Amino acid sequence: MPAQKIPIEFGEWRPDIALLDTKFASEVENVFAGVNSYLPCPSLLRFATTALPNPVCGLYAARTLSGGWKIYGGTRTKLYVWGLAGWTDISRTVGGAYNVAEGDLWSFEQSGTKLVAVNSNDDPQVVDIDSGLNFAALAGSPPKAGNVKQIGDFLFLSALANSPPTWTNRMIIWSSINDITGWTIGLNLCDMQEFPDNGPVQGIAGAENGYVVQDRGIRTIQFLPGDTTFIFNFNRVLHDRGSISKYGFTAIGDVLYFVSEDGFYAISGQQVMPIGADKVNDWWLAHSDIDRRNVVQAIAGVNKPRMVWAFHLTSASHVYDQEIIYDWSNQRWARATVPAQVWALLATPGLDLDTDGPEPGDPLLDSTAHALDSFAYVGGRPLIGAIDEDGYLCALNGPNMPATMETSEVHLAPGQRAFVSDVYPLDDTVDGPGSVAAGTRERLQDPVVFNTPAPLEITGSAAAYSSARLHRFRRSIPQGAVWTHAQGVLVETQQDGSVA
Amino acid sequence: MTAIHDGDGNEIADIDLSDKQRALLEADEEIVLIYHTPQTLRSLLGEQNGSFVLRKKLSQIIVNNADRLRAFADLQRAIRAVREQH
Repeated sequence: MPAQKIPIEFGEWRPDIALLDTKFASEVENVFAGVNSYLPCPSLLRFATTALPNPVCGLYAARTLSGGWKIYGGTRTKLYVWGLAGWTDISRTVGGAYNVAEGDLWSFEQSGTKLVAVNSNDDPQVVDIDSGLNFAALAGSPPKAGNVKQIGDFLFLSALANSPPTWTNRMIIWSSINDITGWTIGLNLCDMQEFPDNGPVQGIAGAENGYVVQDRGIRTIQFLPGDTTFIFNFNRVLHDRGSISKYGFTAIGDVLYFVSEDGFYAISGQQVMPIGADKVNDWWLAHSDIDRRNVVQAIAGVNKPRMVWAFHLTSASHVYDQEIIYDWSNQRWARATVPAQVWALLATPGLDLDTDGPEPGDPLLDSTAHALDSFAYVGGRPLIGAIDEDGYLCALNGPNMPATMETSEVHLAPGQRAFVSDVYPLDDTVDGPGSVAAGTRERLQDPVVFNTPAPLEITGSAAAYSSARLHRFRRSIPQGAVWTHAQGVLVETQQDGSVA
Repeated sequence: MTAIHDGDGNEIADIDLSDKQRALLEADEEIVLIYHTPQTLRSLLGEQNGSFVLRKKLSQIIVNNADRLRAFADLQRAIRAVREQH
């Protein structure tokens, strides 16, 4: 058999299925999934110079009346607002330090000009986004809650702190219509609902129409305009599965994404889609800390069609250290290893006109880089942000993370051993081209052994020089390298022992 | 709690008003209050609903329909009692 060049695509990452001689990738890390390729995943880049005290358990971006953005952070005992000068403590001045339970997160929600922050141990807090100085107790004596969500004209509190018989975690309450200070049940459409089955309410998701997310069930919420008898209609759409995590669900449009005991799901109206089945569910169950699946955090990307779930890899993980990423436009998964204390959707800060500061894209005023009315000076571009391990505010727009992609395992010469001389990566990495390692074994019963990674040479190929019946190839792209797509590898191979 | 009076200045009931409602009254706005029996308590309290209008007159808050205000105040007392018991 003469030497031949065989292209092997990385393909879709589906670690839950048998991967022998398939078109699916056996491993990927620190990439996003494209339609026919993998894309680089940026690292967290700090854009604050002062850190919040650890541990940080809350992060949120709220919008001011003028269209600007304010970033709020929370620790277990304090609430902060971020500005160019750093973090400012704007905790309540009455009531003492907050008492967020270990492992819990603050839940934030903007309602008009107010920002409401809740955790299950403290009275709900509110601050005026434009003019407020410090948080204070939300008026109307609403119950303590772990989740706050605006649905239409109502503010919902859920994951209520148990204080029976008045409140239990199976209840939810919503405010008076267009009045987050109105919490008198029975007045101006303020009411509560109790769900006798399907377990505790983890939270509410959605926008106009919403979802009640319980730990063993999902219900839809539909506002009934003009109906002062029922106000909302609750309709159970899933009775055996719900969100395993207090923070592991979110809605994009009318689609609810959540992580259940057995993996990842999406619901659109009445239709349930097992988006992780036969793809990543088993991998996730085997690679997540079972004791902290109740605090997996879901983040909906707004600049790309992606859902991200951040979780703890092992019991030794001290922060969220792994992200599994679902692209809902192509139904493909990927994963990343980016440690962070908490994640959130943020927005880029605006650039002022009179600076010559070090911010990217902030040229001298008298340069011709931007017109004075350029959109470039307006902040608010959506981005995913986080508080890193050290307490610094970051955005996920740093240099690319070191990426790894692995092909499925293939018989390059069926029934025979195959010799691989060269491997030519099908990607456009510019800086620090990285390496390729061949993983081999003779029988499926043997462990896979990877050769020493071979660097790419001037030809664009790596000298693999491996011989085995079964091959797989691992492409590694170093930290900071610039690239756009990685599709697979082109393998130069021949039946072992033959002469080319 | 805010004391509510009828047009003759007689106190009818004390009720909870939200910060927003008080602010509107302070700004000489009329406010409409809609009340109903909470969904989960209908089997115990029956189904009631109605509305009334409040406005500020000098230093007093005046209701346009005293009977409905009384009904609302009674309903609120019943809600509190039932919720504390169950």
